[in-house]
Amino acid sequence: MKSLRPWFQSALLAAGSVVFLFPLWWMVVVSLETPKRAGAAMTGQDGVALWPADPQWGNYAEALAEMGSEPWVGFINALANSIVVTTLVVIGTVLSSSLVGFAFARLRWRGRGALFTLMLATMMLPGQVTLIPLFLLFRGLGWIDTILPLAVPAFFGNAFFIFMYRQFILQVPESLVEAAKVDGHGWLGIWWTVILPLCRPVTAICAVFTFIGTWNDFMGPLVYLHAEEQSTLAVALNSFRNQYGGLDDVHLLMAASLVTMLPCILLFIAAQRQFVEGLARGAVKG
Amino acid sequence: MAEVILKSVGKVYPGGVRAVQGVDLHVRHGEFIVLVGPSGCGKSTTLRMVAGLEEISEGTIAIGGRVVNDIAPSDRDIAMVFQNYALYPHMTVGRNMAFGLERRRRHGSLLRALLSPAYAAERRTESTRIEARVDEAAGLLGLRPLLQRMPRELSGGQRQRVAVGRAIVRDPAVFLFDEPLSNLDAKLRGEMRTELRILHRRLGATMMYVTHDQEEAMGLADRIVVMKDGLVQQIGSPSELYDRPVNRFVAGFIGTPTMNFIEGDVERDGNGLALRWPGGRITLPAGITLATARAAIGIRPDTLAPVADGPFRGTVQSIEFLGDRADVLVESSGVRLNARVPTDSARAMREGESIALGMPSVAHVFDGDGQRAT
Repeated sequence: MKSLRPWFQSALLAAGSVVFLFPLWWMVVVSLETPKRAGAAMTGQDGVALWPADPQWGNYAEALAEMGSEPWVGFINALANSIVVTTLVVIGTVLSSSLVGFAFARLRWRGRGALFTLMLATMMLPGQVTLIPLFLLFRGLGWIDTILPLAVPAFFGNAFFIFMYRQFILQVPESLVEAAKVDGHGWLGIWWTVILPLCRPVTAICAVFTFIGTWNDFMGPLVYLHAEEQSTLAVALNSFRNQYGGLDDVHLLMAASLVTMLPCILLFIAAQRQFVEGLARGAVKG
Repeated sequence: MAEVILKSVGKVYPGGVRAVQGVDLHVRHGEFIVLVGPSGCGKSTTLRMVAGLEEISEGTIAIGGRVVNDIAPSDRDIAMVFQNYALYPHMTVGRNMAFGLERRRRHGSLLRALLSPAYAAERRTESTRIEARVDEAAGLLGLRPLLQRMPRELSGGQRQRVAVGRAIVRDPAVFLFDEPLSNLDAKLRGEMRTELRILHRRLGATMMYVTHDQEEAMGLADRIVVMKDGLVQQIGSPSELYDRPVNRFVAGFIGTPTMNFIEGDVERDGNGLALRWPGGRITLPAGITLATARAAIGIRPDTLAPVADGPFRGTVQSIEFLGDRADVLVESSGVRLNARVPTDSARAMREGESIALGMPSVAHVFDGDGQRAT
């Protein structure tokens, strides 16, 4: 296939970027509007404004203060809860998925192939299917209204990331594992000191995806955490809805949503190189 | 004493494939022994069984007088150098070399060092000792300037030296080398071969080395073990293997260019025996006994020389000049004979012309089963 001219490629990419970035920019614009203009923007009365007429920077402080029933407390609680849950889930997913991926890639044991197929099959199950059985299970364990239902499953691996780790670890020369055995390491030591450091690109993908997924997760915290002081940021944003489900302060919702999104954007920028490298490697060798 | 004794050692893979059978070998303390053979002959499997990286299906392996069949690789007092170096890519050269010792240290816990000053002092002493060992090995191999580099920043030869250095640091009873030079170019391979030989003399350590390159084996070994199809064919010094190969396989495998074989029927010749081949009749050395009707004479290419009239008359197929010597391929009565002759002698020849080669005084006779006739 004949390659496209560079300027045309750039134009195409720029046009694509505009399409993807426009909603984000629109959020920024609405978050800086006055309540009246923001409401009008929502209903489309004044068309779509591409620039705030009179930027209201105070909207951000107001939005965070108004999250939850007590000024600032709701936001700080939700932020702390999100950080705790997300950190635990990221650590749990990376550790368990890499360990299981390593076992599938390197250890010889009876039934390995069958279990691997079974594990891959679980990827076909939509989350909604297991939601009610899991809720009943966690209720039986007395875990409702604790973060355990959100954090503990992460320590049992994620099928997709296990698959990614396995494919990556299969590329690691066997002799490295053997050298570590001669150097005195057992399987756990080999995983921790040799395999995990080599899996950095996969770990970057796993951590970034898991972070974004958990940080933005609405369903899990909504189902398992009922008290306001336990809610995460994604659920706390819901407090901007009025009792009828409508939006009175859309500018505040947009401001709070942008603050909520900020860690994901920063993380992606920080891990971008590893992330893209890992995805490309997965595409070529996986 | 770091002896390695293999008694009736065998390896059977799941599915019944026999990779190694009945290997009996006594590697003496300080000996450099090379296992050589074609691909799939079981040499690497044998070495890996000594290392503990393959389970031993049959027999016993003892290192330093202790049977190690059920002992983990790290507890066998061995160090191994792998074909692809197996350096940890995420560690510096220094850490790669220290890694095995770090694992063995008795005061390794950082947490305990923070809690107990006495423990911290022991830990520091151990760290100093490890650093000294790494520095000593690095000095021996000229690796000191590279200690802070990552493996990806090194050339193939440097990586190989680091792999050897990592083994030396451990000060093992036995060094195991699994085709360590096969990823290097020919020039570097030659240099590393010499370095390894010097290193062996300096360390005086027991070394077991696997290669498929018989020249490498001849250059390095005190004794060579030739293997084929999982069986040991012959164990001996390079000169023993070269001068008195026990069968046609060893005779053909050892020596470059490979030995010429002339096959024929055995005939009575007065009190002795002779070989009838398409080119005529060759009297076999006196005292030879043969129980088979067919036999073969083996002649080393460097013992064949052009003569005015000899038993091997044929056409020169090709001449390859190698410097002071030349390899001449002569086809005589359907048999291809390689002769390694002085360059001056080869210059007088032309491809396509007819020449005669004389019967050398040293020739090897093998019976119809390929065994050396006595």
